Amino acid sequence: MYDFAYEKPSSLADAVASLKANLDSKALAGGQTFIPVLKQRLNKPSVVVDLAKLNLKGITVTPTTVTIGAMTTHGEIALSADIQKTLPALAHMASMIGDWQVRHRGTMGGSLANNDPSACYPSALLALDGTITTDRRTIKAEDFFQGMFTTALEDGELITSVSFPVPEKAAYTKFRNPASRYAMVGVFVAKFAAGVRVAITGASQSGVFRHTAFEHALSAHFAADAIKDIVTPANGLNSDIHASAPYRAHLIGVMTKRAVIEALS
Amino acid sequence: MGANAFGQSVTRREDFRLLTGRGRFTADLVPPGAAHAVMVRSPYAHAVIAGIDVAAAVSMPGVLAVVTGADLRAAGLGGITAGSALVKFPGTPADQDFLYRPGHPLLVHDRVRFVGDSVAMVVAETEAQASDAAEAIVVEYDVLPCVTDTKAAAAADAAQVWAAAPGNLCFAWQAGDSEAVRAAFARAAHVTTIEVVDTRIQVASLENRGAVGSFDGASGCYTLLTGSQMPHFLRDILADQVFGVAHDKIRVCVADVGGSFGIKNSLYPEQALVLHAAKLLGRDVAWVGSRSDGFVSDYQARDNVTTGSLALDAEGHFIGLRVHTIGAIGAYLAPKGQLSPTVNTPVLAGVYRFPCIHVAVDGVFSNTAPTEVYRGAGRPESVYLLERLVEQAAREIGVDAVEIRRRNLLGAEAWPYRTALGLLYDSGDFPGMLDAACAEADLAGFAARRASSEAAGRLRGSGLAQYCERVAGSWAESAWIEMGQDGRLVVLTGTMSNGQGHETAFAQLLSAQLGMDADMIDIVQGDTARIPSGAGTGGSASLGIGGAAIAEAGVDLVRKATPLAADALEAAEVDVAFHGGLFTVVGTDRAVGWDAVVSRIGPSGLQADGAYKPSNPTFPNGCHIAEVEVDPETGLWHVDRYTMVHDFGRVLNPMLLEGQLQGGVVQGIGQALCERVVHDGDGQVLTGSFMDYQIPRASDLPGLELVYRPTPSPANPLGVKGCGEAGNAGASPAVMNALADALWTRGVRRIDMPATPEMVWRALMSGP
Repeated sequence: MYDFAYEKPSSLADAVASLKANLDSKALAGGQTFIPVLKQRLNKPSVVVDLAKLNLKGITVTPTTVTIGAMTTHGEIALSADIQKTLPALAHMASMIGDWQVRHRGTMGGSLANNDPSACYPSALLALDGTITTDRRTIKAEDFFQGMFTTALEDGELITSVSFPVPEKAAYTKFRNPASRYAMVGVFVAKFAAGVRVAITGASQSGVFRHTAFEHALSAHFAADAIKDIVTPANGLNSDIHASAPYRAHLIGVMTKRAVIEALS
Repeated sequence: MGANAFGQSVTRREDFRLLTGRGRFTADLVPPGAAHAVMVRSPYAHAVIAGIDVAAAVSMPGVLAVVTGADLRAAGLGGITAGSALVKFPGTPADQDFLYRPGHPLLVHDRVRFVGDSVAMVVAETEAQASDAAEAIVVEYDVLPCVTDTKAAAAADAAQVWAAAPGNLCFAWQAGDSEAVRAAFARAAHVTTIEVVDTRIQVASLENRGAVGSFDGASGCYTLLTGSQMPHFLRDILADQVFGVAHDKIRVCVADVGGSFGIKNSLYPEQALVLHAAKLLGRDVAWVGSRSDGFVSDYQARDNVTTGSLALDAEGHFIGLRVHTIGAIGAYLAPKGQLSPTVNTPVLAGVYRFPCIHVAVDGVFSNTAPTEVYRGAGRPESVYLLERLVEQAAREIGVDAVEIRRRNLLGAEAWPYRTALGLLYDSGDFPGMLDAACAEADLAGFAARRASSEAAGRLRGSGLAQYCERVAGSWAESAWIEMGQDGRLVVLTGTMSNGQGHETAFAQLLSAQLGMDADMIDIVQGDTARIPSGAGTGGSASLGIGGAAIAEAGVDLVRKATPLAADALEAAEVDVAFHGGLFTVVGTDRAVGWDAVVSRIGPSGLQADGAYKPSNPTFPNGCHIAEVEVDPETGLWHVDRYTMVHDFGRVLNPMLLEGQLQGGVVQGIGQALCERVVHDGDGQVLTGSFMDYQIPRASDLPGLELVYRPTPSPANPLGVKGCGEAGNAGASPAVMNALADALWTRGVRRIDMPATPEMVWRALMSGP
């Protein structure tokens, strides 16, 4: 780890000011990805701004919307009785991230801001058509993700909360990378009155994406059989030592089918 | 006394400290004021070093020294021992020797040969300062073509790792009777041939490597604190090969060791370099390796491609076995680098009556980390080939996998039995073992379980592996006991626990033998200045040889104590006999215990010693049966049931034994399921962290059922056979046979380790 200054401001304005004042500063929002990166000397920030004291934790659930503070941990989301009742697919997703140690430190805001292509939450945000609120504006999911590790966030812009419309039905299925247990293919299926949205994480070179062919078929008929003849092209999918692009393409079909079955169960 | 008797599950005395954070590992014992070392490693798999510029680094804050390969040459330091003599078995030509034998340099000065090769060491006041300076060292490399794949390294057009080793050949070794095998294959009714891959393993012990070096200018004595299985072996290499000093000028100390499995067996560059730097700087120097460091610089293991052919007669009897292995040596020949592919090939005879066997091994260099011994050191590899071959043959000739074994098993009436590769089997009940395992695993219920899996859209397979190891045979161990005026026993042993529980086991052994409270017995290990000699821990031999030596020392202690007891009894020594903790005047009821002896011990205490060298190895054997279930849609599979029946001879501590078995089986399952080191075309290690190198997790594993069917070993006075590596020997073949069985029904004819989900999916896709 390289040496850096550490700040732990207690107001959002101070945090933003500090991040803006130092070009190579970094925000710490749980650090379950960032701290290993620091330890391996893969990042050399001048200042690390810890967001832990900004009071950005909290879960608010209404019959139509789930709103989660950016610094809410995966563990809190997984164990929230309100989320388990209203949007169980999201609680289930959070329960499958990392291990208990990671879930007690890692946060939803940190994960979304990092936009790791194999992270779980991006698929929930995109499939549920969620909205990100920052210190200065709101950003629709569609506009937020801009390719792997890239988002619409400006320098020094901090996520404060995330809100998700409550769907009629939803499910998340995850084929874990056998080694890291990140999503090798993660599929979030959400059925709304207006139609079905399907978001895939872990598979594509450009990060989370919507599977429009599946969406059309499932909007017409929400059943596993509806997508059985749709072939997902391997083009543009990741290929690594754990899974080739054709295998990932195949798994997208299998995991989507299983998500639909789970959403219907 | 009963609580510590042979066969009791005495709880581990090590566990309080280890489970409460009180264990002391090398990194916990870095002395205050020590300087810190960081290694500069090659980022290329094969390159000429055109220049090393350390100018910027040496003037950086806190930097105390930068050491390069050129500096070591100037200082006249040697390298690490390159292997030991190739073993000779029946049929090995008398003149067979290495073709080229390059040792692992402490620091490379001319040409790097794997990613992670050591180029320089930086020593600074803090580790961060040393790391900063290491980044400032500019090494100019001229990159050369490389080869990392073992089969490719043996091919005619492969990049050459050493100019002096054409074809990348380190050695071409053989054993057995090639003529007899040729004749057997000529008259065979059926021949089954398979190629199996034993992937390269990152051993991944829980504790990373580390070393602390000290030098005492007054005595000229070096002291190394490090994790090791064999402190005296390290001492000897350091004294004889590296520094050229007398053995008593090197002291190796070992504290708690967080797993080794073979990789902390031989000397590494860092262990010699901290000593060199300590002398250079006149202060302690510590190197604490990170996990990332370990992934590119630990010795790795396995990495063989083996072709085996089994000849059968018309009744399904085995009439000959022919084996050819290409074994990866890595870039250099590590101190025990040639052992695994060669020395344990006699295990290929297995539990069967084989009239003839021939085995040939080509050791090949590649641009990879040197390979070393790893749990089993060639035995798991041999068992893997043989047991997969047996089940493949069974399927090909349409005979049940259990039945084909029954037709070929050696029966107890054969003992002693000389195998085709020269072992003398002395005990065991192989047919009874197989029957017991089949019953224990409920093989009779397999068909119903398979039907139930199929109804749920899943495939199920069952696989066996029956094996006979050869361990604990070839070296001597000594032990010393000091009994003080406080009545405590201090036991010195040259074996070295890496977590197995030696302190518990040895104290239990002596407690039972001497009728003494185990709490009065202290086990001392891991200090070459205090312990005169030691072969160390390896080859499942610590109890069979090291324990036998301690028992001999116990006998000597009784002998030394008898005059004192006789004095207390006012009897002649010859009339006093020891039994069950009491010295008794023979033929009377007059007896005294150890307290009478202790009260008569003088200030210099009582000293006893013992040694043991077996005349024959031991033959632990067993039968593992695995059942796996496969999701054909994704290729994901898991081990659903696992049963093992074992013969380890007499069992001292069943709980310690079960722990050894569990660890061994899990490492074997790891190879079958997921473990492999992967390089890209440029020789970069793609599995450089646990994000990509997969070791099995608890949730991947089934419950492991263990049953004992012991037959005592006649090879040592304790009757024990050794259990440290057996789990590993049985697990990979049992699990892969089960997977092959599941996939066979779908037309899959070959599946290799590790059977990742994608590989299983691809195999299913390409089936008929």
